[in-house]
Amino acid sequence: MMKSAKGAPWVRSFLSWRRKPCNEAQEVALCRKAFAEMVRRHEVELLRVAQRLCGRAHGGEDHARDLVQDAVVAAYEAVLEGKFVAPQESGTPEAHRRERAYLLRILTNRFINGYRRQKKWDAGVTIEDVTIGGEIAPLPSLQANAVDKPDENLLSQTLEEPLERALLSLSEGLRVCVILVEIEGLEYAEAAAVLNIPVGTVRSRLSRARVQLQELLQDYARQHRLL
Amino acid sequence: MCDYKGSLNSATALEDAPPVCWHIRPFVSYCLAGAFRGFLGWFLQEHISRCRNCQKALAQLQIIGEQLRNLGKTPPERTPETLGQERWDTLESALAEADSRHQRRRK
Repeated sequence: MMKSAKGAPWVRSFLSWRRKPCNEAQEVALCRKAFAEMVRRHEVELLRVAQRLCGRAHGGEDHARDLVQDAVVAAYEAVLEGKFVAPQESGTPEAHRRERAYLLRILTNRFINGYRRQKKWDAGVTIEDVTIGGEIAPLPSLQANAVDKPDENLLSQTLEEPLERALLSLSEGLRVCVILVEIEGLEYAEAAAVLNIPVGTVRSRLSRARVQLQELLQDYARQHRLL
Repeated sequence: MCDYKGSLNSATALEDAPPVCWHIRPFVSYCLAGAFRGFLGWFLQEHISRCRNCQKALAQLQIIGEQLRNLGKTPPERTPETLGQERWDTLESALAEADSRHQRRRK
């Protein structure tokens, strides 16, 4: 049995594979390395979920990478504080599921918190709204429309197919449920564990999300005269 | 599971379908999963078997669900496969910083 740094559970669990005893600094470095390896195992999935959550317009790709980075650091801090103990036997399907659920939980929480903060920020007057003289900028209705803004027009052309558009119109709570269950294929119970909500809530959120998606798709079809 | 398929195909996800009746709306997930149990299950089954609107709407919802699952199989065109070396370098130094913060707190 290896020596542990003051008996910290995160060191024991991450370093269970190590045989030679070493000092605390080495153990910390090895623990960090093991954590990075765990993240690498789930990197693609984390990025995919982040991308779906953030969308692609308005720098969504960078936002997705930022979100993953932020979540990974938060996850590591939680590991250091002993809030998450890595499975003893890494590589088993059960261990993989536990790691995935843990990382996804932090990712989705970070997204939802950030999204709420952003919404509050957006509700206020931003610096761009205020002119040098201190007056408020013209009303949005008086500003150029999307057609006159080349960048935005370009972005709208590169937007996803109607389903992805509809997905981005859902509220963050509903969108997260749809992404985890429908797109990523998590079981209801797994999604409930990730989101820390009861299974029944996952079901009801999915019901609402599905009905809203149906309405949004029909609106899209009407607007684009596909009906 | 709602077994009404009729002549629906994937293109009909965009078609104008009547909405699910309001009292069935909270139970759409149960209906699509076929998780009919007890009185509620009997009630849902009874209603759906008689209501053409709900049958059509649920069939459309099933197609939307299938398309969402397909999205999961084909990742977005421009999804980065990995974070990239530059991002990993930043991340590793952020983790090292977290370590030193934690060490300082412990001392």
